[in-house]
Amino acid sequence: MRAPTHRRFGWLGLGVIAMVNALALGGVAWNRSLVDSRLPLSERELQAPYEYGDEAEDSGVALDLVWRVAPSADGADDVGAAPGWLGYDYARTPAWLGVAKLAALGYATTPPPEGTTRAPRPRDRPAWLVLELDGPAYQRHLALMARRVVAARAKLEAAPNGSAEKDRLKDAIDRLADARTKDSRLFVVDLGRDRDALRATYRDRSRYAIVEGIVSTTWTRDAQGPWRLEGSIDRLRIPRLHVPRDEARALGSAAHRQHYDQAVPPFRAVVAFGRRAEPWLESVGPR
Amino acid sequence: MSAASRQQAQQRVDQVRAFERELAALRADGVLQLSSEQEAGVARHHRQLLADLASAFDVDRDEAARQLSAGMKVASFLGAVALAASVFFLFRQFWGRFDTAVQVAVLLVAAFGSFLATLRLHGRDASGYFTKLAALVAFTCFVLDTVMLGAIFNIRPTENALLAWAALAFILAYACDLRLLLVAGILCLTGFVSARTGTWSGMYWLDVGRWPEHFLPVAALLFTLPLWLDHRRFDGFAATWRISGLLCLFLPVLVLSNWGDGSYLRWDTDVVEGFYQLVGFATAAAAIGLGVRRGWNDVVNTGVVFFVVFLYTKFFDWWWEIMPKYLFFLIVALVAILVLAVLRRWRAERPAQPA
Repeated sequence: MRAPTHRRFGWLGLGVIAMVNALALGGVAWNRSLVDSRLPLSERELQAPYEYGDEAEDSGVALDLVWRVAPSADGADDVGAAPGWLGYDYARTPAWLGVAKLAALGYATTPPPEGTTRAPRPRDRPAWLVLELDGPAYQRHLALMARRVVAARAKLEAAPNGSAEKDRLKDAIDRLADARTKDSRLFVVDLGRDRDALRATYRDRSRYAIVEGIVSTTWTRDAQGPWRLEGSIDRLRIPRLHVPRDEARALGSAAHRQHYDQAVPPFRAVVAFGRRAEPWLESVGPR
Repeated sequence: MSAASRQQAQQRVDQVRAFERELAALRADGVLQLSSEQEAGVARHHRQLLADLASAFDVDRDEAARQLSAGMKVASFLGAVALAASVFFLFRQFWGRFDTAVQVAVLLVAAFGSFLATLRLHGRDASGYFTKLAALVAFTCFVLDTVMLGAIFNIRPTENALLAWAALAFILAYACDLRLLLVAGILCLTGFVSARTGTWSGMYWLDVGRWPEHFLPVAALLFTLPLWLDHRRFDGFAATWRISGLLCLFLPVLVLSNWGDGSYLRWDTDVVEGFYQLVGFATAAAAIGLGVRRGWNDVVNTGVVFFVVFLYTKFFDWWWEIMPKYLFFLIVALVAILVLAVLRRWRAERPAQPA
């Protein structure tokens, strides 16, 4: 009985390997059979991850999609905030991600009862995110940075010998310059569960890509105040793009990043998003 | 020769050796004396039997061979893990130098080729050690195949990959009688079922590790599977399924008995922890009782281990801060002696199992 059983396992194993690969490669072909959106990105939105430790042994090249959200509040009066935090919301909690949107994602939004000391734990949920390239969100961000330079300048004029005021003005000017030339122009501007509905709202396929992401929530409150639900955009489901060999050669030193201040040669890359919102690099070249 | 598996063959060899030792003892005590013809016949029969079993199943013919086998098992496990890691890092070192078509071709050839090579080797390797090496490499190549295809084509991650990995691991385990691959398959299946349980509630599947209760449903599946699938031909497989099921039950319960915030239950944290402590004690005791009744030593031992772990955890909660350390450890030692005495009494009172 051993030989027939052995043969059966053999065919079963070959069948599993074949089926999995067929599904994977077939899925790729199906995804790429229709381009949902096509974004012309640059070294500002695509950055090679840092190589440290044994990462340098990895001969594959990949680029991370660098995206942002608009600050949770208008920071024009936030000149007093410490440098480094001006205009960039590291917490990824946009003002438009309110309770209604979280409820639409399936989160329970009823606050815990009065007297509750233990709030429900945060849970991650998938959602469709709208990525906007060099659009109104980016323009508002530039305007905010410019207002902060004006406000910092006014503060320095009021206290001309203040070193803190001088530092803040310098930082505000640097931040504005970075926003114009270095920082990513890709902003998450909306999210939802219905991809088609989002696409119907954001029709420009050369400016808006609809991708899968993960949203997280947390219940928070001030002192003994009421509980409130805050949402944040945690990450993209596919945050990293593989760069094929020929395109990696075209990228040159931009494909490898060892330290923060490393100068990156400018490049232009066209990223397409398919039927399943899985992206791929269509072309790469110097800008 | 009627052994169907290596374990049965080894039991037969041990039986023969035990018979030889007992016969020598009876002869020395003057209780039994076989004629020279009978002794020669028995010796001839046993010699042929041992030769046949050694040739078919690579059994240990004496104590020295058994000790060497234990060393070979460790060496083959370490060798298998190291070879699998080497395959992974080899691919990682060179894959960026190939274009996409070559990368895909290499992955497919590695997955198919290593699987076929494993089956072929299994037909020739009576000991099973080299088959274990090859099987782990085949499993690694398949995992690498799916992971690297996902990276090359930016495919969104899904828990379905765990199901595919489990499927191949089980096929290799049952085709080649390898518990290592069975454990790999069980781990993947556990991950898949737990992740799918999470996605049904709308959660992102990679979040599953933050909620220990997701692992409880799969515990029942793992524990009961040997009840409806005959595993007599596969040494230790049934015990592996049962122990895995118990671990999927006890480990989350142990975590939740100390971390009530990790539960879906909306009760007060102390109440949740107390509840899971009770569940832990009750299920450990139930496992011991069930194991004793069904003759499942693996279940008894796992139940005892976790009963003691839950007990020591409670002792720590109650007394660590308020009791001198020497007294704390003395009580722990006395409890261990008590458990030893109870188990010894059980063993003495159990009727002898027929061979």
